[in-house]
Amino acid sequence: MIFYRPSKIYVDPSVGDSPITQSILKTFPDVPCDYTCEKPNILNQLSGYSDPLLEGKKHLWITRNQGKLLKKCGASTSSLNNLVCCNYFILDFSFNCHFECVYCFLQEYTNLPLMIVYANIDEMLHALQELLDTTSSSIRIGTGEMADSLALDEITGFSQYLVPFFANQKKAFLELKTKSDSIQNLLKWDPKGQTVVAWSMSPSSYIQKYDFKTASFEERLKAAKLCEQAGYKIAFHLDPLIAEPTWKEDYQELIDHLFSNFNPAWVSLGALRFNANLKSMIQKRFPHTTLTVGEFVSTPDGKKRYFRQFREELYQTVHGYIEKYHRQTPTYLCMENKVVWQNSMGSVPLSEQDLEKHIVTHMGTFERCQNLSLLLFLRGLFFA
Amino acid sequence: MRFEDISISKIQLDNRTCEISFLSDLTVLRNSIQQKGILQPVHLKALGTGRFQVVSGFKRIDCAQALGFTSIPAFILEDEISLLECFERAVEENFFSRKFNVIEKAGVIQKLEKEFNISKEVLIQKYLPFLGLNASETVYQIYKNSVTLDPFVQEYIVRDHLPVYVIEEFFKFSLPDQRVIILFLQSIHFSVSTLKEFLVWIYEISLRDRSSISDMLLEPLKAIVQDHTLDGRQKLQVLRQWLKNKRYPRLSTLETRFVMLKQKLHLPLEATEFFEDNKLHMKLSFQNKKELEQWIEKMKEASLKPELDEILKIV
Ligand code: SF4
Repeated sequence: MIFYRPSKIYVDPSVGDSPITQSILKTFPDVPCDYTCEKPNILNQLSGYSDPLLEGKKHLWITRNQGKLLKKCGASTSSLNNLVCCNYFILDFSFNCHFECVYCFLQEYTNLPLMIVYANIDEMLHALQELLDTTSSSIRIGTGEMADSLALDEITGFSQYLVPFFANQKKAFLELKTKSDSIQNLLKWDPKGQTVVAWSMSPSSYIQKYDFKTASFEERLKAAKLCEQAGYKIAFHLDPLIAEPTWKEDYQELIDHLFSNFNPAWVSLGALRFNANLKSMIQKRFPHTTLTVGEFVSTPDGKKRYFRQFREELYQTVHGYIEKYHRQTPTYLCMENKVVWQNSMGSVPLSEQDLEKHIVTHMGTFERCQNLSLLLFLRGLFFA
Repeated sequence: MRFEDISISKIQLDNRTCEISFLSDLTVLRNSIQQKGILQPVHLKALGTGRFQVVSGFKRIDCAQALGFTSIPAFILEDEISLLECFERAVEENFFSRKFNVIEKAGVIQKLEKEFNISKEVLIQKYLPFLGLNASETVYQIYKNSVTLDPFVQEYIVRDHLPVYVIEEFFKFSLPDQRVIILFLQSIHFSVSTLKEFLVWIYEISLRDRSSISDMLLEPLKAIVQDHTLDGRQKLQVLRQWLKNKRYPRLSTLETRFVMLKQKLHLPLEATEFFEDNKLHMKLSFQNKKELEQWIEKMKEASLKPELDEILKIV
């Protein structure tokens, strides 16, 4: 994994005293730093660079998140009415990522291509508490939507506030989604079963080909093992699923590897998708990549996906590999419609709450009861 | 600025710094000059040595010389005026009298950058709007890349008035590949949207299969284009289907199977685009009860055929 080092830091004075800001500044005492209430000036100059995104990432802006700190996951608020979603919340703690995954949708955000860290941690914890006070069911809250949850953790120290906060909760789980192996801070805390560290996983050769600067396959597995030993639950996102010519063998090997070493809290599957803008961005930034030359077609939400029958084959096959382990691991599809759910998984969740309940119930019951028949019963209950 | 008749021999004809035109048809101009002489004086910059540099009017001078004129009426810009100012005037003069094509605009941008050392920032902020373009890095890059295209591609772009979103597709190909493509395009005419699709598909197939563009265009596609049993439209259809099968092999197989089964069922069945939904649709039209009954009969027959189960499995 390549560690992040900015060439310049911009600090919004309103978060100058935040422990997050202080942690960053302490890590990079020699990096030039500007205090400014405005958006950093560099934003106006980035268009002059041949790769504005790459250049923008060299600039780190520490500011306050003025918007909604907690949001429902994008899929659950999508305009498409037949998407099946889990009831997932996102804590916006950071924007952008110094890794260079070829398919990353953040490449589309060309109007603000800086590395942004939101340092108003107190307000974030407050917003979390408010949400939890008003929610009756168990929920999952993730931080890895607009950034990798842990890529900058050794610089920002975010996890040191979030993990203990969730350790004191009963009905909320924190999900840290990552492609890094920055877990040193995590190992200092007992998560009390409330934090799941989820690695986005692909076959090793795909990581080398498409996930530049991230932790390698082996590094991710090693980090996951250490987290598991420290009491964290482990989950895996097989997203994006990429249909390379040898995908069947590659994913078989991947699942074998993951399931013979871990007992994941959940696995999500999501076939590669991108919109037309992202496609041209990918082709421009990675001109020789073969990522976009699969059998993609336009789908009703404007995204390009593998055509439906092929997506179903992907999901059925990978889900089949998982099922062979008879672990009853909750496995869900990301950003997919009911038809695909039905044809690939054999059932469609009744609602997002039901899907969510299925996932978190499994987490709760997983340790307490080894009674597989009860799990089978739960599975039958929550799926139509 | 003064007005004079200047001997063509005193003009530096090989100095084309201020030239803007790309691919203009000189026939009309030559005829006009032959009949009426030069009505609009050219602009020349006095170089102080008794010689002159052309600022605007290259085509008029070329025609006049070809027609045997020895002198030409000209406005003389004095030496003090910088060459950049002269060039700006040339652009302005041309711009207000006609529409620039893409390659001409690209040429202006390149000259400003290379000959006049204008910085990229100034080019984007000042000169792109001056040429009627958006002041953005993306637009700048597109025009900058257009200059590097193979001259035959440039010619094709101008002749066929290709829009920028199609021009961009050519950038992905190497110069030798561009040349091969242009040669191929001489033998078949695409509409703008089918040309874009053609370029996208051949690029993606060659990238995926690590195959060369010339192998693809010379072998199977050339055979289609040279098939004398097909007319122009049919050639395009066959060529498109060949490329589609190659680019989307699994989807094409599915679509072909669907069409075959549909024909056997004798019903106007339709699937949603790319089979994204799992439903079949059917639109029937009839004028009377008898026609409706015929449809019902057809449906009954179809419901008993194994092809119905198969087509339902496809969707
Ligand atoms: S790790 Fe995630 S956020 Fe970072 S570049 Fe890769 S896909 Fe994007």
